[in-house]
Amino acid sequence: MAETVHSTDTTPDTRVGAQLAAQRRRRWRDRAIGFGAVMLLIAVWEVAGHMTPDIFLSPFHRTLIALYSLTVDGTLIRATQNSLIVLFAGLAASVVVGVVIGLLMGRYERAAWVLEPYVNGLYAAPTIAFLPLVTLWLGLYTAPKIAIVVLIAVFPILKNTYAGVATVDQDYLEPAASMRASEFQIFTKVILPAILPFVMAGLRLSVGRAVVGVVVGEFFTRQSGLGGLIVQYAGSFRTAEMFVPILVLVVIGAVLTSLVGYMQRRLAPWKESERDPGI
Amino acid sequence: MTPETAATTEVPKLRVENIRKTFFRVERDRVTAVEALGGVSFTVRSGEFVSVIGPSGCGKSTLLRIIDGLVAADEGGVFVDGKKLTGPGHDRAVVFQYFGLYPWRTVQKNVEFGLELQGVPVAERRERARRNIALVGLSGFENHYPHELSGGMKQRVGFARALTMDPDIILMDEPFSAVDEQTRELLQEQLLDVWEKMGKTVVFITHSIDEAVFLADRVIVMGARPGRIVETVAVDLPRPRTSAHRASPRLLEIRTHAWETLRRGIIEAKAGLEGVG
Amino acid sequence: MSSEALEAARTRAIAQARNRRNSKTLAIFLTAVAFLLAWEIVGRLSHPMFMAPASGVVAEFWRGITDPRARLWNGFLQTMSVLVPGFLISCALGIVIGVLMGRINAVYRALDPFVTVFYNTPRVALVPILMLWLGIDNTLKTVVVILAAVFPIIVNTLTGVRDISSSLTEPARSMGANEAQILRLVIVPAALPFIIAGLKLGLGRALTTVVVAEYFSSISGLGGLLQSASTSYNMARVFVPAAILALMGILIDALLGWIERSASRRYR
Repeated sequence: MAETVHSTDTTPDTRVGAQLAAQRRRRWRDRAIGFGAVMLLIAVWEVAGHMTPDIFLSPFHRTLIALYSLTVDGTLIRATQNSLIVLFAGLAASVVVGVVIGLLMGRYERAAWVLEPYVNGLYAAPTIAFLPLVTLWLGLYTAPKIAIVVLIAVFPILKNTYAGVATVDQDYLEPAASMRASEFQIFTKVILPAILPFVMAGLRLSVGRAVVGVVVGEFFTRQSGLGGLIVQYAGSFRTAEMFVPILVLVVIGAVLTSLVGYMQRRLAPWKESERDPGI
Repeated sequence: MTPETAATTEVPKLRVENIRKTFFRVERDRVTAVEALGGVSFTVRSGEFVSVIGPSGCGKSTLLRIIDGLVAADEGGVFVDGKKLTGPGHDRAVVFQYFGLYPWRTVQKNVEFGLELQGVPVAERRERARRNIALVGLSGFENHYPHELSGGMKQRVGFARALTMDPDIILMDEPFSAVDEQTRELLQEQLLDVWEKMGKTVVFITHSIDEAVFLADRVIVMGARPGRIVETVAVDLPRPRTSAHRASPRLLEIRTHAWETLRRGIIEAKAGLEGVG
Repeated sequence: MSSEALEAARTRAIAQARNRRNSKTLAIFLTAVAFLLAWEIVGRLSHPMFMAPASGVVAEFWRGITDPRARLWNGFLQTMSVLVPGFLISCALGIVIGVLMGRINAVYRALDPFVTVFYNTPRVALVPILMLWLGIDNTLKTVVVILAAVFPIIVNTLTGVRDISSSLTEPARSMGANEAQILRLVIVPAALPFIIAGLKLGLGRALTTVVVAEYFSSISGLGGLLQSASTSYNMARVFVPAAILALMGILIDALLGWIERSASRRYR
């Protein structure tokens, strides 16, 4: 009897503890598997690099050495700086353009009528195809690169903002109207905070696209930055060096995406359960 | 159809006069007209608690929105203290079925919202909000966000927000329909408690007969298609009411009568529909 | 309400709805006209190196499809011959891998790290090394298309499959459905919106990447035409392949949207 009482007293605690421990174990196991997978990829790279001529693929450790030497001689730092300037300027411009147009379309039916066909069209179209136009109009330096980033990255932000404004429905507007909010107050105190998580979700989708835009811009306008390095090393068959900027780009994309994701959770904890379906 | 319950010589707090509202749904060139309200009139005395019940689709929520001024009536008018209304005002506040809280605002900030819109100084609105949060029993939750609260707590925040506006009339739109049965009863008792203290005029929309009868001085029973008042039932139970009254024979009697009335309204509406079809 | 008043209100509602429809059509039409007109005027006023008028682009397009020397048909077919097989292979691979990863935990754990790494790698950055490995013929471009398109399809299919709650699979299982039946009758229909969204995303990436690959190798396809036109500073000729590529994206996207709508109508 005493034993039964004792066990009912402690069971919930121990059960919770056991569950937490199991969860922790699972998390560590998943991390270990992820780490193992990356190690495997690197091992295959290393072995394949030894089996093929260097102009085709050089082993992973050479890329590590190249990473070191390119960092030390400043090449990599300069290129990364150049790319980041284009990336951040492009993303900032995308947010401004996307949010403004998205708000216009969401708030004013007529703006949506007029703009929606073009926005949908440009979203579905490979806007990269307008690259020659951009270079012919804006030249070869920083402006066309930023323009290309915006052309590629603006649409997820725009569409998400628009969708966000459209879902700011009666549930948020009616109480404000009942409490006699002015049009300006509805805008600043209801609509803007309500769409923030949508804008962030759009931005998260835009980061990957923006990195592509930076690379394309740096490939095809005046070569510069990390994209320029890729073309330069590929052209001279220096495959060990060539993978350095690629790896940096992967890291930039991953870090920025998870940073935006983190901000999204911090700024809109009530949206935690909602995922974007990858559109 | 409705006998006047009390011959009032003074101006009623709220007078709803012959409200009509028809909604049209247009698809291509086919128009379906839904007559949500077909001439609704009633009055509410100052400090009175009136419940409105009716089957779904009887326009009771539309009626509440017309009283608040969120929706314009096609015909008729709403008068507060004898003055005809033209839109939402600070003399009325709504407690919404869906709570109507802003997820990016804390409990404190949600309760302050109405005062913030009016430009009430920070210190004053903080103090008033705090007082009403305490009144609904949520002290200590000021800095929580709505998603951290249960449904019942959310609705108490909604109620505190309405109280903080210090309106004469509180309009409640099925406020407890999204919470579970036990919480609902506690909330009802708490509402009565606060109402006894504050002496506000309340119009309470619900689809629960028990709730309507337990809370109100009078129950307005509505029928559907078009929405109209079938009968007004006076609830002559003593105040203050407690959970003990829930099982009183008198309440059950009134409840049965209200249910009969409601059912008659539903059957009439059905017959009317079949007659049209 | 009196019957005349009701009738008047009804007439008003109809008129309002019709007005709304008409003004929408009018607004779209007027904007398109204004846009074309502005394009024409700006094009005529500016140097042909910077801008071609709308009429010039139409003329150039006409020349492209009638004059074999313009290589427009050729370019279009080359791009399609890379895009279509590449995208179809990506669809098949992506959906199969996505479903397997979504249904079988071991597969998920084994593949997820690789999918995450490649999903987040800017695919265009790999174009130069792939050219080195695979040459500049269609094999290269097909591989590039698959690399670009397959990962979003995998990720979306996977998300869709994992998103399906047990409230959908449990009834089927309790009625004795086997894994294959559950897959065909429950999982795929329920995950379809996600899968289609993934296909749209994959298509966008495929198109972008094929253009970059062609532009980079500059000898084939619409991307190649784009590149050669831009070096000849002929704006009208730049616009034509760009517009065709844009139209391809819009049309295939619309097709996928149509498939999703008609499929989901059938399931409902």
